[in-house]
Amino acid sequence: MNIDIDHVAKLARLQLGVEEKTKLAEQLPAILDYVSRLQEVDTSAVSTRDYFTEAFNVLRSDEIVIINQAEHDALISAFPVSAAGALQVPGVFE
Amino acid sequence: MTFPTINAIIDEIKSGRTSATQLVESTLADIKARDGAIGAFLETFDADALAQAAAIDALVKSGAELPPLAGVPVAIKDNMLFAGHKATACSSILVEHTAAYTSTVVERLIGAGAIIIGRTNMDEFAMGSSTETSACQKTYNPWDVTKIPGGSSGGGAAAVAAGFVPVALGSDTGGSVRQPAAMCGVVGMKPSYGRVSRYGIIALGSSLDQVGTFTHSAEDAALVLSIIGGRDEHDATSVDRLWGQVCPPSFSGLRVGVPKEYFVDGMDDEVRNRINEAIEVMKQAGAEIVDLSLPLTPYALPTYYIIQPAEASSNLGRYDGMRYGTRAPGSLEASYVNARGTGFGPEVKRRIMLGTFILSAGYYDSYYKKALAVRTAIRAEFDDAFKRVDVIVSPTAPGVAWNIGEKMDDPVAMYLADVFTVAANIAGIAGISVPCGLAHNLPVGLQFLAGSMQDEKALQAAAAYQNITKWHDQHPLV
Repeated sequence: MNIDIDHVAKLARLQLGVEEKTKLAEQLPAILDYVSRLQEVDTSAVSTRDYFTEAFNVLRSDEIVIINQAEHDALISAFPVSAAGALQVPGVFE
Repeated sequence: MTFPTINAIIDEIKSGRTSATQLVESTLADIKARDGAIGAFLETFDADALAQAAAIDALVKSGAELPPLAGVPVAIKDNMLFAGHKATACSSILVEHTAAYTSTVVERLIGAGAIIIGRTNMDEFAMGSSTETSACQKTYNPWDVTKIPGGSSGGGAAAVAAGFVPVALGSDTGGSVRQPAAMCGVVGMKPSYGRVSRYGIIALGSSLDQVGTFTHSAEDAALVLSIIGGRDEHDATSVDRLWGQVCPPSFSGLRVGVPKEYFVDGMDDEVRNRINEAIEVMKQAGAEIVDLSLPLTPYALPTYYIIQPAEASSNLGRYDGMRYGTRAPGSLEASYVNARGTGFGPEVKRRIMLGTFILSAGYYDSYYKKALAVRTAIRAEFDDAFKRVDVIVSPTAPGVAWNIGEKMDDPVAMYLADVFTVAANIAGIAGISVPCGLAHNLPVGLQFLAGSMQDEKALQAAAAYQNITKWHDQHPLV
């Protein structure tokens, strides 16, 4: 199988070096070849479930939870770049 | 070197023969003296651990009733948040990350009087089977330092095997607790999906992740799980089930299933011998051995390597240098791409690429949807088997610990190390690995699987096995 490594890397927002791309171009098809054996399993009669937990419709009331100041400050200080107690990011529009 | 049980430690503290401070001081000194050769710990939390110990000692002095894990030293995996301490998942992208809040499991341990000694090495974002993808350091198997400790929670397994701590927490997405437990000769338990909260654990595969324990005995595992388990409002998948007492450990009348698909070609002969000997021991002790067939077994690993990369690539989307880690220069798009390109290691990039491809237009149905269907069928196959047996027994891994570096360039060979453990995560059921002897002078793990929410049965079988065998009393000479 041929995989367009550049296209997938773009979707994944991942910068890859030339060597990395060469290696992935070999390894990804090998892994996909291995996992493709799933096609041997007849699942036409299976009604697929997306989850396996006893929990069902876990809801909570839509209320703002106020965290304490120390936790708030710790979260802000964990940001790589912050300003005036908020997360600072590069502009979305140039 | 001593390897006390949790109850022995609690007795020491309660009686006043040893203070929690003395215990923490000797634990920290031991790690400083011996961990250089093993590399289990990334960091010890000396100041916090000593402060926690002083609080326990004050309680002992006051004569107040002690919490259930008073003074017990515990190591945590580097993907578990503990406010004010680093939690990096052993990735360069999080190398400077300090936790702003505390995970539920750590909070419950501290609430029960346990002392958090430090954080242990792991594969980067828990992606790996040997702890070698860690961006921090190598961990060496205490039984033979030329061998890997297993992974991804290799640091925790090595920390308990070497006798630094009686308990370590790990996380198990495809075998990351049970497989290193097997490789290092300790007990590793992965509870059923939903029985322990993952709040504050750095996510890998959200439908597969579960917190587990490393201990020397199944009884110690049960004790720790009774503290950290149960419903948590912060993890919507956690269920409201208290951990029951592990029934008197006995094989008498226990139905033990032996699935033929777990005894395949390519398995190490010595490992196979140890497992067959263990089954004989159970039979002699009154277990009813039931031959089983689980025909979908060969499809569990391929299913896992679709679902897990798909979930991992989604979960790791949040690491883009904006809210965590290091901000890369450039425009928004360039900043994302650079931060991720320089911050993630080769295995993580491989799985992000794999997951992104699997979920991309044109491939979603043939890979991801197909894997979900097979997953449902695998769960049904286990449900069916557990109508006929109480537990299923198998090897934990097809071989023993391999040489450092041996499988680093062959992803599929590395993935095959998890071939007997992934099914439990795929099906959401319970699994535990206990030591069952040596092969090639390295530990072999015996795995008991039990149905969803039937964790106590797996613990019971493991405890019964440990009652009649003494393999868990064999320790490495380090």
